[in-house]
Amino acid sequence: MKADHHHVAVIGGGVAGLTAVDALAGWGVQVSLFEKTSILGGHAVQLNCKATDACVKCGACVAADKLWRATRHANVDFHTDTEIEEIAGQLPYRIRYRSHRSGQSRSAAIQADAILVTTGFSPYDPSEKPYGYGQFENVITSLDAERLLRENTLIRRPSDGQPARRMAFIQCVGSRDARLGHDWCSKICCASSMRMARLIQSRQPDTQITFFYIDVQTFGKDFQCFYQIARENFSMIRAIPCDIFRTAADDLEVIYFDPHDKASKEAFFDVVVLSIGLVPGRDNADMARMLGLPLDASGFMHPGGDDRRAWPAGVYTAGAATGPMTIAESVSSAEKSVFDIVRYLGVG
Amino acid sequence: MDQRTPNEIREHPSPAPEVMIFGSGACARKIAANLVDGGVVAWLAAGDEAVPPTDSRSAVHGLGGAELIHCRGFAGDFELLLDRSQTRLHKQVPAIVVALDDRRLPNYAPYGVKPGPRVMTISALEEKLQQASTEQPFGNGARIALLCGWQDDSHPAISRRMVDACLQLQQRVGVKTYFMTGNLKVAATGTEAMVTAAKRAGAVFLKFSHDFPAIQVMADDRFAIDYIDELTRLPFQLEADWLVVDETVAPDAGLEALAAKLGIDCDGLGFAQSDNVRRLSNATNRQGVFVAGGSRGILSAEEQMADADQVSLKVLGFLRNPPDEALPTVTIEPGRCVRCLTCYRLCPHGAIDIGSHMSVVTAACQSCGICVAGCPARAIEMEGVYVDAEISRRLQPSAIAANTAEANPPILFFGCARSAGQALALARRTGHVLPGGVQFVEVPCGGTLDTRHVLAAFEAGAGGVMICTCHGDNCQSQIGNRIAGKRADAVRDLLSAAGVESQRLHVASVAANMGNELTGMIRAFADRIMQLPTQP
Repeated sequence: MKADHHHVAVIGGGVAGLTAVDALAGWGVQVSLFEKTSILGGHAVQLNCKATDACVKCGACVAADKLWRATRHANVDFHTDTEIEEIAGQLPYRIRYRSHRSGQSRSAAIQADAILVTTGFSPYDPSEKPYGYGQFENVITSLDAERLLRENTLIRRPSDGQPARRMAFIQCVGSRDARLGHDWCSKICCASSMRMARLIQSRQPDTQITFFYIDVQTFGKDFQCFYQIARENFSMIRAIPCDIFRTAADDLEVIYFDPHDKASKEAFFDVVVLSIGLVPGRDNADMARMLGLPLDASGFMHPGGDDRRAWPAGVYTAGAATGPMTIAESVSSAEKSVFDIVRYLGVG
Repeated sequence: MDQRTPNEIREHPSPAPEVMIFGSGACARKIAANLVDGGVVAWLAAGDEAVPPTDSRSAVHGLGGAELIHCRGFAGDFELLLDRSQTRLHKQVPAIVVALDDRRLPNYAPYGVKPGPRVMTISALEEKLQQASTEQPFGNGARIALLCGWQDDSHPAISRRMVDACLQLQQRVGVKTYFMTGNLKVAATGTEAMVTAAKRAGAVFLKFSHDFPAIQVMADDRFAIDYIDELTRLPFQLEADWLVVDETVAPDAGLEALAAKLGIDCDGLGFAQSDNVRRLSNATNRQGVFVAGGSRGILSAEEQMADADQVSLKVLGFLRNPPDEALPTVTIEPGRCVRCLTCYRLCPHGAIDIGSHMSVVTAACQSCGICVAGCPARAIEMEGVYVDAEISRRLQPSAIAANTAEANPPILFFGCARSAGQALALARRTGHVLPGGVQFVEVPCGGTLDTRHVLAAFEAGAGGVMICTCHGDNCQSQIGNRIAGKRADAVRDLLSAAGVESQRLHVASVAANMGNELTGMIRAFADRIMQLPTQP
């Protein structure tokens, strides 16, 4: 691969950023990847494979694959534990960054002919919801559940280590929520939770699983089939609970309004999983300001695309920074942006 | 000089690379325009006449009314024969893109209605909404029921169009809309916000879980819709003047036949891309053949335009360089080959050339090893991959003694590079170690394993053999894992006949990112083997 003299900065080392790094490096461009945490792969790489007897196409392995591919190129430099301090100049952009690696704080700068922002999303913090997150140990988020599964391959009650026999998933926590001003669907939570629930049942077959939901979104090419199996194995309650209490026996009491019987009811669980939504990255506002990028009404970045009025030249966005999306969509989004960048740089 | 017979045109390849794009819609045309910008000559071929005529200024050649007769050759050098108005056209192209548009099939039967003057499809409604700017297409006070997925769910891409149309209708004075759905699909970007806006404008959203409405046609062609309202559990009847039905997105009617001629796999719905995450975003099972837009799945109009850009990037990259993965090359020894064509039939990538000598085309090969293991004459070799030698080496007494704490027979663990190999590497990085006595042999793909390898392992003294591949539907070569499973079944039969416990052979699947899980599986297998009585 002959070297090119262009230098592209990719800000954010999740699946979109890594996909872009791999694609750009393949075109001979020099790439610098900046990641504020110490690990590459973002949220996607923390997810478990959800296969039971066959792959369910969740994409978790794709994230790992993109990480592996990105690290094979010679013309890429990685900067983890690094924050962007300032982006100045017109073109080329001068990016000043601060690295916190090995406990030492050091500042440096590079020049970039193009910038791709792939800073991803922030998971919604459900502490403000009346579900006792942060007070009741056995109320966990979907990300907490991923960690538990990764460490133990089973879900055990955080409070006493007993296997969780009765589990509830509460969907749309922080999404489709007018009171919060979150007027969007986070897209991935129906897929993610249902696949996780099937995985849990395949490992702990006597686990009873209840889904509290508003609507079930479509996922995968075989959705109707998967949904049918899900409905046979889960208790589906089309209501969102209003309260959770902890009983004296350390059960979780979930209060909800049953749509069938038109009555308030309670159900008891060992563990409640809150399917938290994807909200705009905490750094979105800062990054947008640094680059002169617009944010949409919800606080996500615009994807840019073909309609790029009042958009700074050479600056692109991709992935979940622009809105909730699946791993497959993040890969596509990054590839589309790389196409734009390669065109813009006149490389291809 | 061109050789022309009356009905045949054989063109010499031009200096600029040429790509054949099957398709005539917006996605295909965007791909053509992108490729031309990238210095490529683009051919657009489709069975219909919607293909734009050849544009001499822009190097896009249109082949309307063309049908593919056959596709020979391999990545970098495909030979296509097309039929167009009784004329046969030969084209040699390094790459092919399949980008036929999808079909929108209106759903009447799921709602118990038939096509009629007062039943519109969503596509027809969208056209009407685009035309009418100030005029009122439905009459003042009209009640319009939009039917969007009842017993069978709709799809977010379709639902978004329905919600958008509902919002536009509701915002026109004097029209009353009722959106009747099972699961309200709001996953497509912006749909939830449109639902909120539609409700604020007066649209009524009715959701159903178990009992769905029943529609009757009245004498005046209007509709009486009986339903149970889920909030109050009371029966209602809605009198609607118009019905709008949603659509199912299906692949083009000719796509499966085209895919078969090109040697590419289709998914369960007939789209020309396996439901396999390794194909993301635009790959097929054959190098040099790409798939995009409405040919690879259900994509919205915007997604298809973005897809056109993505696939253009891949195609241009492919034309610049061969695939950059350093895969081991596979060669067929002519002296041993008996031309049984087993390799040709087994190859999931269409990489075997039946020439005067059988050969594996390097540009098309993805090194799964299925042919290597499957060749009855053992005439095929993969560079640098010598499974038999590796088995002997791992089961040498010296190798075992160095690793085993107790005097238990060793366990041989075969793992494919794309799943188990990576998972093991991850496990080691995170501090998990294999139990003593477990020897690991990495293979490029599960398909590289033959029955003789497993038997050789037992003969060399292994107490247990474990084979770990990618999960079903996750194999880079689509069938490598299945073939490994079948070969293992054959070995189990042989083991039983020889009086060896069949539990000594275990086949499992794992993903590349599940190091912890894999180590656990290996440990559990090793424990089970230790429980079995020692072999004589």
